[in-house]
Amino acid sequence: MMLKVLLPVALFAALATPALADDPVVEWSLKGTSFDPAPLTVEAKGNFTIKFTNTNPAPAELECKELKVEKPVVAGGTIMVRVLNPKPGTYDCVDEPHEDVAKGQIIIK
Amino acid sequence: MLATLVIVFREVFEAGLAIGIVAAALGHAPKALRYIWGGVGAGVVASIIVAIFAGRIADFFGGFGQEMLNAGILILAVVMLGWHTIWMARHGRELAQNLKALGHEAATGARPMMAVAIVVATSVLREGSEVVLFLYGAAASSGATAVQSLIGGAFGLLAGGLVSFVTYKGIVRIPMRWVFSVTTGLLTLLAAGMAAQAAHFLQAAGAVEALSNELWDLSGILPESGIAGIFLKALMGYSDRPTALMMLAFFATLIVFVAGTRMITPRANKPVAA
Repeated sequence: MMLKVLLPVALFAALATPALADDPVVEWSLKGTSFDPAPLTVEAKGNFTIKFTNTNPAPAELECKELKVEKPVVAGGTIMVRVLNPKPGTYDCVDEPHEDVAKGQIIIK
Repeated sequence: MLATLVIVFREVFEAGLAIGIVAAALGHAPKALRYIWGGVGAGVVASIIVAIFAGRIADFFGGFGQEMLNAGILILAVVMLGWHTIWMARHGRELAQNLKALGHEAATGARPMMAVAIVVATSVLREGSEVVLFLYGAAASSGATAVQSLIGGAFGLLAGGLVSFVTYKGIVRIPMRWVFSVTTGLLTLLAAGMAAQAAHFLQAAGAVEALSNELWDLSGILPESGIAGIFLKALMGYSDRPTALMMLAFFATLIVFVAGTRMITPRANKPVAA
């Protein structure tokens, strides 16, 4: 029983070392209801990371459903978001709290 | 207002379904409600704390603190579900047959109610901090928009709560002799799904690179963002484009739970027609 509890915890601790993947990083930001650059164009050969800055004085949440991206970011904050197994295409993104007006796109080539 | 309602509801739905299943699994256990509500309360408080420190948390692990936190929360919930499920496999049958036997708890050793409260708390926390951030943002905006957003948010929370209640009511209406198997099955699926999502978060954080290849793409047939997809995701961590590690985590958890339950269930003599 003890083993059952400890094993996953130990496993997690071992995995939790921040061995950051060396993905290419692209920068993107939210200003008001616009994304910059618009659209964000990425030439992806594999996984990549978006460094996303919310320049607004309100919390935001970057959501690109089809890319499995859904991550909140505080006012004026910056977050890192990994896109796994990207495929060429055009993907819609929103700032979820203002999803009716704050829309952006990522084009993966 | 409707937009806020939908957003908050979407966030709360996942937690609501899990809590409904857990509440049904507890059934008539003594003080069950106290542990469920205690878990909800602890989850809300933790959500507020996480929302306050969201900026700080995000900076950990090279900018992937939130993913690591989510993975940790999910793994904790899986372990707690395992503990409770194994305990129930050992004692559940006796409990069901001796519902009215007072003092029975003492004889079999106390049921790990705290484990259940922790599962509830983690379910609330997972979605809760985003809801808190969101409502805070809405409240900070000015005038009529803020009021409308907050009203929408409140209705979203209410609708999420309703999901818990309907799930709970639906399960407890199942005939007594099935309800134990059904709840055990649902909790096992829930745990396997949480393990798969934990795997997803570890890969989204870049903490695990192994097995991050995509197995298949069902987004055209059963999209994760559709109604059925959202339901299946809340119930069993459905992903329309799962990675190999997610599937491995799902089935490994499923096997551990099922095998563990089988091994530990006492060989009961078939009760004479009850």
